[in-house]
Amino acid sequence: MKRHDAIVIGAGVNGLTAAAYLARSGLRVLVLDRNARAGGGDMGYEIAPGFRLSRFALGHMGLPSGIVTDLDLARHGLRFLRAEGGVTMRPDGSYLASYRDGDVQRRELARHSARDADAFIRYRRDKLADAQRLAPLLTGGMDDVVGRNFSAFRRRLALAGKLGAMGPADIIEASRIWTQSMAQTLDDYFENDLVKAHLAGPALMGATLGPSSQTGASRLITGFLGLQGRGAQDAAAGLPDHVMPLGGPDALLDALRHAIEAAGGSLRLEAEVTDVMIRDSRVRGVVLADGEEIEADAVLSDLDLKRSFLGLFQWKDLPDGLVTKTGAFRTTGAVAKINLALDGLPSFPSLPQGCGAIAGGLMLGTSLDEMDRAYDDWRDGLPPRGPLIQAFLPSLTDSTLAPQGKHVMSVMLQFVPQTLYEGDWTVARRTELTKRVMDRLAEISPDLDRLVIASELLLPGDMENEAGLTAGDLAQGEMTLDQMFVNRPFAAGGSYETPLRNFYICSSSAHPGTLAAGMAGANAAARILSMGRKRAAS
Amino acid sequence: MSTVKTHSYDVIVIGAGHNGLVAAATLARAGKRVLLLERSQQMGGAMATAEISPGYRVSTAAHMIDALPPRLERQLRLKKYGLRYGKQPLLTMALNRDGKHLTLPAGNKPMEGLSASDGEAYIRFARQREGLARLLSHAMAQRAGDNLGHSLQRLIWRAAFMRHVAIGELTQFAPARLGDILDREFESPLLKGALALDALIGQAEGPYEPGTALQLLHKTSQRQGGARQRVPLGGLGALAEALCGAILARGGEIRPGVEVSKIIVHGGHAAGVETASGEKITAAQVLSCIDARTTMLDLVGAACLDTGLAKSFRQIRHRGATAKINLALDGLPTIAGLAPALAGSRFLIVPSLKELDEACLAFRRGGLTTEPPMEVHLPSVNDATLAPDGQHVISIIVQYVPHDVTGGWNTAHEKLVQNVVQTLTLYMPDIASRIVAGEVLTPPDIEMKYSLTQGDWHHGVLDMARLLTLKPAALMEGYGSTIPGLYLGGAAAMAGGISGSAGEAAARAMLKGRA
Repeated sequence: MKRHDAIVIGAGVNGLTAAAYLARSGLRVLVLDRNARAGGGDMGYEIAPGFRLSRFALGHMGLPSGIVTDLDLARHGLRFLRAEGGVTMRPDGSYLASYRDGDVQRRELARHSARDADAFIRYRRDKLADAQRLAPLLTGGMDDVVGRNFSAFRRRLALAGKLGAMGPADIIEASRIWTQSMAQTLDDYFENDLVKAHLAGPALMGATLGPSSQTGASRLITGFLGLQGRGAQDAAAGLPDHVMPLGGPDALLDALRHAIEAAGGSLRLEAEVTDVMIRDSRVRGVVLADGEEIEADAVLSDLDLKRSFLGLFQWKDLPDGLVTKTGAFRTTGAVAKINLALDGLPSFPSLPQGCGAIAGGLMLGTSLDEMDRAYDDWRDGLPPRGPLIQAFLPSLTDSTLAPQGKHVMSVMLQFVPQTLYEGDWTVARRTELTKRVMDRLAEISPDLDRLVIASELLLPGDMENEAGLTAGDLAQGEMTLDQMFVNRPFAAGGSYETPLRNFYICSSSAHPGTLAAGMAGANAAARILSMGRKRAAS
Repeated sequence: MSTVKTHSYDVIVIGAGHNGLVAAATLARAGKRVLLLERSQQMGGAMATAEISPGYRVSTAAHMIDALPPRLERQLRLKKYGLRYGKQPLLTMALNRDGKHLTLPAGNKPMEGLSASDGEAYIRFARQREGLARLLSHAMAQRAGDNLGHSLQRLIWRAAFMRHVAIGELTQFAPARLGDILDREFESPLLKGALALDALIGQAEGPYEPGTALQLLHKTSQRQGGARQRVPLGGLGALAEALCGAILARGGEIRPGVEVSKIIVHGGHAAGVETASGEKITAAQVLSCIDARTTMLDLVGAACLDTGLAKSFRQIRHRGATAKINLALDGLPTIAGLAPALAGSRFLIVPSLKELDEACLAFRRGGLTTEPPMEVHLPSVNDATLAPDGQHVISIIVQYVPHDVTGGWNTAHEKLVQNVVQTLTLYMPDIASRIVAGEVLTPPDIEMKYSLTQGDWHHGVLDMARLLTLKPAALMEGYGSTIPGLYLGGAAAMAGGISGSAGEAAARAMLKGRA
């Protein structure tokens, strides 16, 4: 029987990141994934020969710079491309674009409202400050600041002291951004509907909240989280760039894989873990579908919380209350995707010739009210009547993704229920949804339909079946305030350790979830390594 | 020494709602020369008893005292000025269509009529709720000027000594969806629906919206310390009368029918008011108990305010979500499975969370639901003075009724009444045949009649951001308004039903001379 220091179940970005950190520290690591492709919810694929794109995600994909440097991913072939812009278009021909340059951005906003152009300066400054306050909380675990023992109590007092050092204005702003709704925050700054929709749309993608749901405002700052160094210093800049790996999602996953293998670790695909072995109430290793047993000192799960506990264990082996606690963790799917291979670049007649902002993606313009109605329909289990539609043409920036002159297009649909009130997602209903979305897209790009070579619709149910994401939840657990920070993955139990010894959660189900790609994996690895050091020292 | 300026009054209180009356009475009792100005002829604002048909009287707007502290009643000697309660304590019951009703106990007492697992869960839940609510009230006692670090540390110390609740639970509970929490704890649909309706009545948010769990804690914390829901004999107008009595007995002056059009700010200091008829009345201090937005933006005027402050008042959103229906009945309606002695209880009518959620979705779309959730009370059961012998009045708060209904209120009016009566018939089969007269107040009616913008009881949506700071503008210190001499004591400053709490707190802040 083979032995490893650590086994990672699931080769998503978090799993691979965790494995790379562990391998780099000299541990013998094995990553197992049941699929033939690594990546889970972030996997790439070929929709037609020569046309490659992200299968489930939109395709914007970065990694925190700390992880890229720590793992020396540039040496393993990872390069990032930056796409400026993003444009919201309305069927009436009006549009609003994002720009990196602050002056251009303000001129663009001023076309719609001079007041909003001024307000944008304050908006950007405030959201950037919010992001800077949030950033230090992403690295490292939330630890057990909420425990009932004395040391946790002391840690709490110390934390309270630190918070008290914030000025009153900071505290008010921080409490606003974490309690208000997105609509409230945007209304505070802006008057123009298109401006508000342009800023809210991307922030709502993947959300299980509507624009008028409380606590939703914090989603507005995630776009600014990546802006720590370069962009943050420029106080007069515009909206942040979109980052994507050169060569598509597979390039990023390959770089992580090379980093693992270079450090002596290995990755096995098409190896499904069906059970976790427990002996003397400690986790000892895993059992594969073909019966093979692999032992390890630590087992990390990159699956969501529900699949980790309810799928990998015999329930009777789990400590009291764990099944209930796991059941209480909400995983809810809200997005669907349409992937397209295109015979050429679609035209957008309402945009000026050569408008570069299209490289950052496009969104169909609605208003916050319409977004609220789409959210209500989703809550009612209706097929989306007016889904939020966001599209991205990665091949505009990265020509390696499609044959010369041709393109791939990712279309994300927000507020698509996993299960419908009126019955199954039948073929007819799927076709109808695709048609509805293509009709909406035709309003801004009349020739799009003619250019489609291949098209595929992926619903939350498909994401569940293929990528193993419970309920098709790409975030592996709703990112709502009651399931974040110290409450992720368990209520008042934010940690990578679990009640089972030697078993760890390193997926997005753990803090910080989707706030930073790969961070949960990096944090989980850091926790295991620090425990190993403690054990070695004692 | 500077010249001593003499004013006609020490304090002018604007608005004679429950907060204004309590504030004026508290100030008068402390020996201040108080003038209370009220725009309408009627004192009490949403506390009003009126005749809806000859011989039938009912609390037309609010129909219960939510949390007036017994201590305050004693201090203001309201009993001496005529405030009386019926003999029966007011029970809250969740009505069931099959006659198996649930009585919701106060505090963390056990509840009867539940399955074994729900019974246990209820005790656990009630303890947790009470504990968290206590923590929350400590957190809310925090004033904007306090050192947050010290306050948090005090809070953590307190939590360390509480048996049933840990501080971590607050971080998970408060921002959660109330419906999720109830679904996790209980089986009984009736219980879940009733607990949610009890927490959310008067609010514009549905049970499955984030942050609604905090509203449950807020309601719970209000009812701690002996304050509970009560119904005065003679309706809520009787409380208004008793408070007026307390003010007059202490030399306070009350002038109905006087509309304040401007708060005079002299040298950066509030110096009095100007009325709509052009009269100028000077006072050393002014306390406004009408909504904060109107006070600061209309009466003071944005020109006297810091830009940021003016903006934060403009941001207060008003959103009413209830209608009120008062009916005169020619006899006591039969309620299946209920002893007639209990007919004077407070009834919560909603079969489950699902109906509550559906009602809210309809509301968000601007429509009416066919089976609206309701809070229903028959005050005449314990108070024979309200209706002719053997006859009754019923007071109904209908939850999730939009201010701007699709198609307009002209057409929706009838439908609202129809939905309400049909739903009530499921619980009180003979209700329709007993109706002899009635009155319907839609949110626009409540807005007009009781000067509540959008028909919003709370002078602004009670969302998390507001609950956690409990100030209309987070930049403001305590109950002062950043204009020396001007204080805010309306529901916007400290929300919480008919309780007088904001008025009292503002009056006390004035007496201590702190802003």
